[in-house]
Amino acid sequence: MTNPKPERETDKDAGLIHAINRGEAGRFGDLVARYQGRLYNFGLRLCNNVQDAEDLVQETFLNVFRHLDGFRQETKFKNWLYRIAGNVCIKKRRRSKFAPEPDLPLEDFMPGEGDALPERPPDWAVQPLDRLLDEELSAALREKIAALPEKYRLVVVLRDIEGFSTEETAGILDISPANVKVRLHRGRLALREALKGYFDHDPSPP
Amino acid sequence: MTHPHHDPSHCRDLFEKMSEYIDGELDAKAAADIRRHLTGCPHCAVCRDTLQRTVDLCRGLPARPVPPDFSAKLALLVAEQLDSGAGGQEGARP
Repeated sequence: MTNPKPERETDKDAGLIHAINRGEAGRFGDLVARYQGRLYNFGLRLCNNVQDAEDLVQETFLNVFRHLDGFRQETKFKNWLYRIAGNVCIKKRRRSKFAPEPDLPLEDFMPGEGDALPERPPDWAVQPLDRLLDEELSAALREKIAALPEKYRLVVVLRDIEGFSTEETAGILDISPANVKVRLHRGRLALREALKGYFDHDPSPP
Repeated sequence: MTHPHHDPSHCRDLFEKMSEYIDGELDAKAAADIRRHLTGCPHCAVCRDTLQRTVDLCRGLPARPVPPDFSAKLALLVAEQLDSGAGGQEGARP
């Protein structure tokens, strides 16, 4: 099971939402069935913790249930759903931590003057992806994503895992597309550094 | 040891745009500039390859199934909400 490609078609949930809002409340269960897997994985990728992921899914659906009648379909339902889930995640963190999260300056990822720069890509960048991405690497990558500062982690997960476009991600997080691009680039660079470290320390790379 | 085509200031400019380049979000001229540079600068080509692979790994990360007991808990939650008629109640807006 891999992540879906970005979607640009019309809202496939419109009919279901319309039915629920016209009185077929029982079909809310269909909506939960349709999105529980995606939201659960979204929660896992943000928190890397089963209990926190379950809390995020539950709280998100409760918010959807309370406010679905006010959803005006100005955006796709899925984007509205992820906006709620993202806000749940942000509020959760604010309740549990008080230390401000660090920025990731671009300079931290730039090679310094005189650094020896590689002229050939490392093995992990050229091996077939299906051979490379085993259970161990998947677990390590999940940890590394969860370790990103939140503002970068949200953008990386929405763009590179959930498959939202730059504009959709900007709408979900209520930030500018330019800001999405900046956070995405730095988040990816931080992940790349973490992966380099992972492969450099692996005594028997696949 | 650096490659003779490696121009640190130009490379740093392109480094900032590498994610937009691999996402196809640059205008045609900027994209062509980077494409041309990559053919002559192996350092930046490695940068592109490792960044692209990082994105590929994220996209290929397998999804995990929802635990059946949690799925059952959600179904129960929906039933409770429907019974209580909580839909449309006032609360904190998302």
